[in-house]
Parts: sequence; structure tokens; C-alpha cells
Amino acid sequence: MSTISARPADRPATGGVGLAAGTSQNPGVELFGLRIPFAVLLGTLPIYIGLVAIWMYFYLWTSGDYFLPRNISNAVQGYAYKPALALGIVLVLLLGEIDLSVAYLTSLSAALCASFLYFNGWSSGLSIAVTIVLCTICGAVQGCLVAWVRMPSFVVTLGGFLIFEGVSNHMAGATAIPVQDAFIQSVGTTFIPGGLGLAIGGVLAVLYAVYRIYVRTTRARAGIRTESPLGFALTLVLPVAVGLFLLWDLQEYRGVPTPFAMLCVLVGVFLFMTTRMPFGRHVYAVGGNTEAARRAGINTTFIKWSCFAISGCMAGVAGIMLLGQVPTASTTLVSPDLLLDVISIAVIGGVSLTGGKGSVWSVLLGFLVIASVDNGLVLQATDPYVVSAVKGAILLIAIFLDVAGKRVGTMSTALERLRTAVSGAAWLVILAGVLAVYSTLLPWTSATDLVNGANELAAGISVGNDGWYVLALAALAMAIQVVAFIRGHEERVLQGVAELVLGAGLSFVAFRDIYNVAAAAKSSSTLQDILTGESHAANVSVGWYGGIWVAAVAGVLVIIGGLWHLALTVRLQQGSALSGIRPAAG
Amino acid sequence: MPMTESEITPTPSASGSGPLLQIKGMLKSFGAVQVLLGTNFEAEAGEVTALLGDNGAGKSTLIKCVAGTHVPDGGQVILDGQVQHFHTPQDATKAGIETVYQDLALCDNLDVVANLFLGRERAHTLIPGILRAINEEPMEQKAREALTLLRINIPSVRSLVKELSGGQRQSIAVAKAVLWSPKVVILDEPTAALGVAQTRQVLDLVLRLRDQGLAVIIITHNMQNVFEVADKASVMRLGRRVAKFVIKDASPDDVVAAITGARTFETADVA
Repeated sequence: MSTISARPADRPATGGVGLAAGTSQNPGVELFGLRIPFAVLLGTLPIYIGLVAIWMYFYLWTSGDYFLPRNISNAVQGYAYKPALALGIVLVLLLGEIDLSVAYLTSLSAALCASFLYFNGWSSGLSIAVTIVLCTICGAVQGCLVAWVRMPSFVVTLGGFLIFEGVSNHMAGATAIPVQDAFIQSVGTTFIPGGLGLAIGGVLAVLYAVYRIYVRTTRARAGIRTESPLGFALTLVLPVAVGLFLLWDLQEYRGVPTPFAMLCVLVGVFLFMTTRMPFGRHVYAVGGNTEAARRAGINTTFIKWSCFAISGCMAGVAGIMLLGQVPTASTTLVSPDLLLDVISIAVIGGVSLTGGKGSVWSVLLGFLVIASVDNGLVLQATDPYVVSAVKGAILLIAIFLDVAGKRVGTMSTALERLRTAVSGAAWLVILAGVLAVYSTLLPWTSATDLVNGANELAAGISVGNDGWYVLALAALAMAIQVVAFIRGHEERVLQGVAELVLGAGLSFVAFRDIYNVAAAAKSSSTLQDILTGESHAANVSVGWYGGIWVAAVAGVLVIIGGLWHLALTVRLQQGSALSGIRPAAG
Repeated sequence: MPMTESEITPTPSASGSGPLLQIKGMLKSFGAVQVLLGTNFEAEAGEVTALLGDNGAGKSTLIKCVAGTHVPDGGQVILDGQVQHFHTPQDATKAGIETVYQDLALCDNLDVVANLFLGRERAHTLIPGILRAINEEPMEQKAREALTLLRINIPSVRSLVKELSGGQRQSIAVAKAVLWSPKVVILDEPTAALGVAQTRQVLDLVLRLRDQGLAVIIITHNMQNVFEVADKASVMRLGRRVAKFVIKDASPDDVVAAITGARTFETADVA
């Protein structure tokens, strides 16, 4: 989270071992004053930008239906078991191994649980517990073969894949096993009521903030470097804002779907396990360099074995989540795409198949991409085969960017021009995203809506013209960026001024629109309609309202970025005068 | 383990006399191949001892017997006057012998702090025996102290190891070994694959370890390194020690002659 690439070394260099000067910092670009290494810029950042682009696309294509609470609710409810599976497989991938058996272990889990309930007449609690334990054992047995017998995981889990497929289809093949159990069905179909969901979310948000502030003050007191204030604020505010927005959106429909709540708990557990527990660190170590991990005294066979067991356990949980939604265990319960979907979720989010790289956040990111595309294409009534093809293409693009990020990261200095180009391109994409939201406000869009009689509110508060203002501001800022690019190096002063102008314009327009909508709503009492998305004016839906807020936040960020650029210029000039630090752009 | 200053500063030899580490009559064979034929070796505290020899002379096997990776067939490892029996690398580590292997020491995908404390993370116990949460702050503080003491310069203790230069990585590997206040540090080819400046960094670090009173054993093929940093040298050939040198009294020609077997020396072990 360093903001300048060259800063004075921590310790005096006299007689020291390291090289203070000439140390190869990660090459990267500056974006809004934050230095972003190539590995991130070409790694996960394009995925985030792509995600926003996907959302914009479907938002426009479905005239806002895409962001309706009902659709989001359906999506997170229906897909929740996939990231749950992906959480388990990420641990295995972090080891540099693979688990091909998870999809049909999910199927086996559902078949087992259904037959315990239907044929044995066990209670739901007992059935679930025994099923999950059996699935964990299935995973653990595969783990033993990999860790102790040292069979290749690909072969072991391929065997598991076929065995679990055969057994589960044998169990549920002749006749599908129905599940009438109320508890199992409630796992898949109920909702946590809005008020309770929001309350829990609020408490979690406060806890998160307190934790982050606690860590920061502890580190500051111990004299350890803390992250930059901007980075801290962003990582504190953004997740909370996104989470609360999602909660609020879901609550507009029927509340938080139970499977999604379960997923959130699982994500929390896995986050803690991978980042805060010695176990998680050892998983990364084994994936990075097994021999070094072994020499450091880590029980590498135990680590491998337990990751496969956890993956099996998650397959058990996913099977029960799935059974809750489709209350019949049959041969078609698990789609043949499931395994590849799960691996795609992990890999698109940035988990490396060679081990040691990736995180639980990758699962959330990959899940968002896959679920967004899947859901959007389904809304468009696209042929399911085409859906597969599109997902495949997205997977390839994601891996390409990941690999390209690594390559560029090692090629360093020869790519000065590309570096500026990428910086400019990233800038343009973000601006284009903001513009895409505002383009729904451009006069011609509003005019069509006016003809349809659908957008009297939007017309009434005359936000249409603002689209032009934003467009003009963005064009101005882009022009300055282009000039900076043509001159071949990063012009911080120029960029700073451009950002200030653009940011000021954006936030002025956005905040005025927010004010206008509120004012109009006060007079016509249609705000509720707007917020719930039930209004006929599709463009003035939750998505539209969210769009204004995106623009507002973007505006503020751009202002901060501009100030940062200007401040950086001053500091670097002082710095180079004092101790000959080369500027970050050099 | 409570954190004290003594973790970095090594404890001086308790016996006070005689070599800190003594290897007597070490025997090891793999199947029909006899690799060590009763090798002797000594290393003193506060000295750098070079272990030299051609490929296949048995240097690595000897070191692995001392580091607990191999269990010897016969012979003794005497540390601080006490006979040791190592069955795993952890036994040797516990006794105070740390080994830095070429390219095998670090996990590239973890940061410097995580590497330094790998396998020995500081953690709060949340549920005894089951749930422990890593406590980053003391580890990071300790890492900074240790690196400052050894004068190892890196951009940040939170840098990933793969972002560091070869010399910095080797320095971190050495720092990882000495963080736990060993008595003996064994460096296997520490300067192989390093450039001139980076080799310099690592050799400086070796001298600092010596000045702190550690017994440093360095395996190398680089004769120049030996004459720059070593106080003593033992030369192995075909599983035996064929010569011992005090470096300031020796000439490079003698050492090379011992390695190639061109001459015999009276300091050789009795066959």
C-alpha cells in the first residue's frame, strides 16, 4: 500500500546487507494517487472493472430489472452452494493440488441425506450430521492417498469423481428420493427477515470497524508502519458500504435468503482460518514451497490431508444446501457444469492452480462474476449452451490477465510506455463505467421514456441535462490524460488538476441529483416506489439511484486522487532535492 | 516462547574449552555406497569454518547428519561437550544447530515476517489445543529488530520474498536461522548463484554472525570466499577429512591440492 515507489530505506545503509538504492520495487502504475503494481492491475483489478462492466451491460439490457431486489435475492439464494464448494476447493488449490470429486460428492451428500430421511426415517439433525461426517471422511480418504501414499491428486480425485457419481446415481437413479422434511427445506427456501438481517449486518459492520481501528492503533503504538490513511479508509468503508447496500437491497424483497446467510458465515470462518490461524499460513507455505515448509517443522502431510477433508466437508454442506432448494435427490440434481463452475469461481478470482496464491476473497469475486453472468444471461433467455461458452471465454480472459500480470511484473523497465498506456486505459474504463450509469440520464434516453410516459419523475426534476455536463467534464479530463500520455510520462500536476475539475463536477452533479430526487420524492411521495424498484419508471429504480451514488462516491474519490497527485508532486520535489530519491514515474 | 533479547544474542559455550561442535568418526552409507568413512570435523564458537571438497566428497551428507536430516550409521555429534542423537531436523534445531539450505529455505509466496516465523508463529490461544489466532504485531516488531541487528536492508518486512533480490533472500534465510539463537549455523553454498555485490552482502552477514559468537560452518566451492571470511577450513575427499587449515597460514594452492588429492597432508584423518 505504498504510495510512492521510492522511499528512504527504513534503516541506515552503511555496511548493510540489502541494497537500499536500486532495489527492484514492483513496477506498477499510479491510479488516483495509489500505486498499483502490475500484478494487481493486470491481475484482479480488471476483474473488478469487468464486473462493473457486466453489471452495466445487463442493467441497461434488462432496463433495470437486473438490480431489482427480487432478482438479486433469487441469484444469491440459488447460487449460494457453489461458492460454498469453492471455499473448500480453494484450500486444495492453495496446496497446488486439485479436487475433481467435489461436484459428485455434493450429489452423494444430497442422496445420502435424502435416503437417511426417507428410508431410515432419521431426524433431520441426525441425517445432516451423519451426511457431513461421511462426506468429510470421503475427502479425508482421498487426502490420505495424496498426502501419505503420494498419489497424484488429479488421479485420486478423478477416481473419487467416478465413484461418487456412480454411487450417488445408483442410490437416486431408479427412483428419485423425495424430501419432505421441513427443516431441510427451510435451509434452502426461508429468509432472515429484513429487520433482523439489517440489525445483524449493522452489528457486524460496527465490529469490523472497531477491529480495524483496534489493529491500526495497536500497530501505530508498537511503531510498526500502518497503511496509508486513504487505503485504510477505502478498505474500511468500501466493504461495509457494499455489504450494507446488499443487505438493504435484499431486505426490500423478502430478507436475507438463509443459504446466503450460511454462505456469509462460512466465508467468515474461512477468512479467519486462512488469514489469522497458523493452519492457514501453513497451507500457503506448503503450496509455496513444500520442502521449506517441511524444514520449518510444519507437518505437511497433515496439512494436505486436512485440506482434502475440509473440501469433502464443504461438499457435504453444499449438498444439503442444494437439497434444501430442490427437495428431491435425483441423478439430475447436480448439473454436469458444477465442477467447472466451482473451479472457475476460484480461478477467476485469482487463485493459482500451481498453489500458494489466492484467497477467500477470490471466491467472492469469482462468484460475483459467474453468478452475474449466469443470472444476466438467464434473464435474457439466452441458450444455456451459449451461457457455457460465455463463461468459458471469461475464464480464459481472467487467466490471460493473471499470467500477463506476472510476466509484465518481471519485465520491469522496458515497458515504460505500456505502463502509462495501461494507466490511462484503466482511467478511461472507470470513467466509462460512471458514464454508462449517467448515460441513462442523457436527453435521448429520457425522451424515449417520456414518450412511454414512464419517466415523468426523472423528467420532472430535469436530470437529463446533467448527462451532458458529466460527458463534457469527462471529455475534458480524458483530453488532459491523453496529453499526459502523448508526452510520454506521467504529468502529475496536469493529472491532479484534471482530477480536481472532473471530481468537482461529478460530485456536484451527483449530489445535486440526489438532493433533487429526495426533494421530488418529498413533494410527490414516490421515493418509496423509487427505492423499492416497484416504480414503473425503470430508470428511476434502485439501480439508477445506486448509480447516482456511485457517481457521487467516484467524484469524491477523484477529488482525493487529484489532491494526492498534487501533494505527491510537492513531496517528491522536496524529496529529490534532499536525498536524491528518484520520482516514482522514473 | 517468551520474547527476550537473548533470542538473538547467542549463548556462549558452556564448557568454555574445546570446540563447540565436534564430529567424531561419522559413518554413513546408502545401500552399498559408503559415503562417510569415519569423518571428523570441528567448529569453534566465534569462528567461521569452511567445509570444502569436490562434488561427491560427502560434505552434504556430513552436514545432513549434523542437521538431523540423515541418521548416521555410526560416530558422534558432540555439541557443547554433550553427545547428541538427532532423528529429525527439529531435534537439531532444538539443540541449537540451524541449517540454511540453498533454495530450500523460504516460501516465495509469503512475506518476510511470515517466513521468519514459519512453523513457529506467535499466536493467541482462543480455544486451548484447537483454535489459535496469529498475533502479527509482536512478530513484525521482532522481525524488524532482528533485521536491524543483522543490518539487513529490505524495502519492508511485509515484502513478499519473491520481490527481493537474491542476496536479500539469502540474508533473510540466514536471519530466519539465527532468529532462534542457535549455537551453530550451517550455510550450504550461501553465495552460489549470487552476483558480486550480493555475494558481498552475504559474506558481510557471515562475518557479523561470527562476531556475535556463533560457530558458523560454510560449505562452498568458491575459494575466494573461503579466504575472505573463513578462519579455518576442513577439506573432505572420498568420505574422509584429508586436511585441516588455519586460513591465515594457508595458501590457496595448498587448499586446492587437498581438494583434488594432488598432495597428502599430515592433518588428515587416520584411515
